[in-house]
Amino acid sequence: MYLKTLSTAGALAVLMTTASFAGGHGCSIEARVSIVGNEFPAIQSVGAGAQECSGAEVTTNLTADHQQINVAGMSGNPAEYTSAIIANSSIVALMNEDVIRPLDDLVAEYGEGLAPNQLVTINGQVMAIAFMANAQHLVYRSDVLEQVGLDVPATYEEMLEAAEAIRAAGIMENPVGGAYAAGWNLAQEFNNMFLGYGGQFFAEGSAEPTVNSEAGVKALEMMKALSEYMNPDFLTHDSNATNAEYRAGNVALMNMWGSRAATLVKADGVPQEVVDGFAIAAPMTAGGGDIPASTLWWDGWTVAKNISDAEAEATFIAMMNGISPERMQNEDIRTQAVWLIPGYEPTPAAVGVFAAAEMGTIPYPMLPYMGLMHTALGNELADFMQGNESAEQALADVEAAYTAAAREQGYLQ
Amino acid sequence: MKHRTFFWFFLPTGLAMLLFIAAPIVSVVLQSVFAPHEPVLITAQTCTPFSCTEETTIDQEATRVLREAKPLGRFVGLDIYFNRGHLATAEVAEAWRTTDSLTAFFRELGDLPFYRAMAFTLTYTFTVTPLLIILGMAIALAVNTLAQKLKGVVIFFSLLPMIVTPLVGSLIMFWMIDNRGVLGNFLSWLVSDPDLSVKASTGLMWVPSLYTVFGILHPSRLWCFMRDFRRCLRIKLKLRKSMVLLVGSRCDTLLSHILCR
Repeated sequence: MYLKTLSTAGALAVLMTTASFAGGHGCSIEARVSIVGNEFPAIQSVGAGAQECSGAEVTTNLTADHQQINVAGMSGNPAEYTSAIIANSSIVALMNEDVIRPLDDLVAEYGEGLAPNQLVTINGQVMAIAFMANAQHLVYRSDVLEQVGLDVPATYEEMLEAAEAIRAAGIMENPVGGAYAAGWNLAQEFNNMFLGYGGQFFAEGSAEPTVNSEAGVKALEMMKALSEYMNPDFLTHDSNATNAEYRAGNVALMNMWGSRAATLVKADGVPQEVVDGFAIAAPMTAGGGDIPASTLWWDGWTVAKNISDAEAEATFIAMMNGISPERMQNEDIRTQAVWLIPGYEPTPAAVGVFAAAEMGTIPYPMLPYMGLMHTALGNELADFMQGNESAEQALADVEAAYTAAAREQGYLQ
Repeated sequence: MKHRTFFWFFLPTGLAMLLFIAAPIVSVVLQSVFAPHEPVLITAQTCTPFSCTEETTIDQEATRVLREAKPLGRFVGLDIYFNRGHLATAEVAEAWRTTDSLTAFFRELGDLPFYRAMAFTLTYTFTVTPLLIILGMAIALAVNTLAQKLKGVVIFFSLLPMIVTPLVGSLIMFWMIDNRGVLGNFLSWLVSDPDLSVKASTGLMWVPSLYTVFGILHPSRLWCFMRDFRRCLRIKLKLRKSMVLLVGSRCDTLLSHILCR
């Protein structure tokens, strides 16, 4: 009996060691890792890569609402999440609350193989490791444009012409798609258009808002004109819903995220004509400007401050595994984003984001009070889009709402 | 009961109420008169994958010192209650001064988030709740006057949907009233307006939300009515109990006369 127990225990021990060598691809960690982030395919891949590590539990919570839970989840001591996958907009919220730690020593110890432009440094300290670039650009149906005999639109004015032609030809009733869902998405579309018209969010060197300007009014008017060609429920359509409309063959022109465009037609049940006609182009300009009406983004991961050093180390190792250069060998993963990882070869799906970078698209501002402006825009612009308010009134409301919030947080007096 | 007995009986509940109800309320009220410290802003070099720029950012060290010195924040009194995001006293006074009619005044109020939310809450309370009670009772009574054979089918279609979880129910309703959904499409065809959007119109949205909420509430009262309707006497008793809750004791005699004929 004793011998039986001993041999079973021995066999189990051998199994476990071999399992840890087999499953981990050489990645072993000693403390728990808990990741929170967005849910698009590229981040799913990074999360899956981190979960390959063995030795401790690696959990992921990837959701479209990550910005509503990441600060709270990392504020406790010990923090619930040990790593947050963020972008240039969401890192500011974490920095403002001081919940992420500098990564300089961890980079020195475990970070060889990281390209220098992957290190996001703020005030001399590495605060995040970037792994992909992203931007919104034109995604269209080349077959539909051929049918109406028009070139690929390079400006929003041309996009309106193309939409009118498609509707007149009876091909599609609402050919334009846009993630205009009231809230974050609508505000982001305004940001893109506003920058395309040369607008400035804040007065130089201060937190005073300057959105109620000519550029702001023009941006809103262009958005209104575009919405005339959209599905009437556009104020409830986020990126997922807009993509669903494209897949169903109801939309021919949209300004979509590069990270989502790559795998757009790979879903089940997409009609063949949509798969064949799917095409990507550079972001468009507006009002005769040369700066694209879009923003440039990077996505990266951070490590929480309110966790033990062992957990921080484990998190860094696991996330490094999630973005290891070996993953670039996988064709599927390569198409999911414009990776900043060494060994990435651009795929055809990356054309839009590269074009955005080359055209000098402005990166989303990483100012501490930009989040307040984004929230104010998201709350107040829906009234204008529904036709209840004039553009000037809506922008005045935005500035008033932003000023109240900024005073509360202490950015304005 | 002796005071001492009552005291020991009530002690666990009392402690729980102190801990989970009273203490949080005190804490929230205390925190509501403080605002976060003004962050110390510096211009520092920020390097991203695209470029290195001089950006305004928060000086973490200096701000942490401030926060540790006064953890609650800076005292602002009732400023947060009166600011634009809440009661907006200054904006309301300004609107009252500058508008010349009540409709214009209420439209100005509609710009303020608190009053927008308040309008919705009041409309919901005074429209939906009475309608729910009346409609719920009407359907329950109607179903009960049916012949035995029809009852089952009608219950299946009108009352069984109540078991659907509210979350699932509202999600399905949201999809159905979409412009491309079953109900949305039907409505646009009915009024020959392809641009009709139920979701974009606050007024129209009340109907589906009413329908969803009706399907959820008052199941207990409805079942209560239904099961014993045949026996008038038992109805009178049950009605009395519920009526006391709803309309007071005077009306139950009248109602039982009507129902029991």
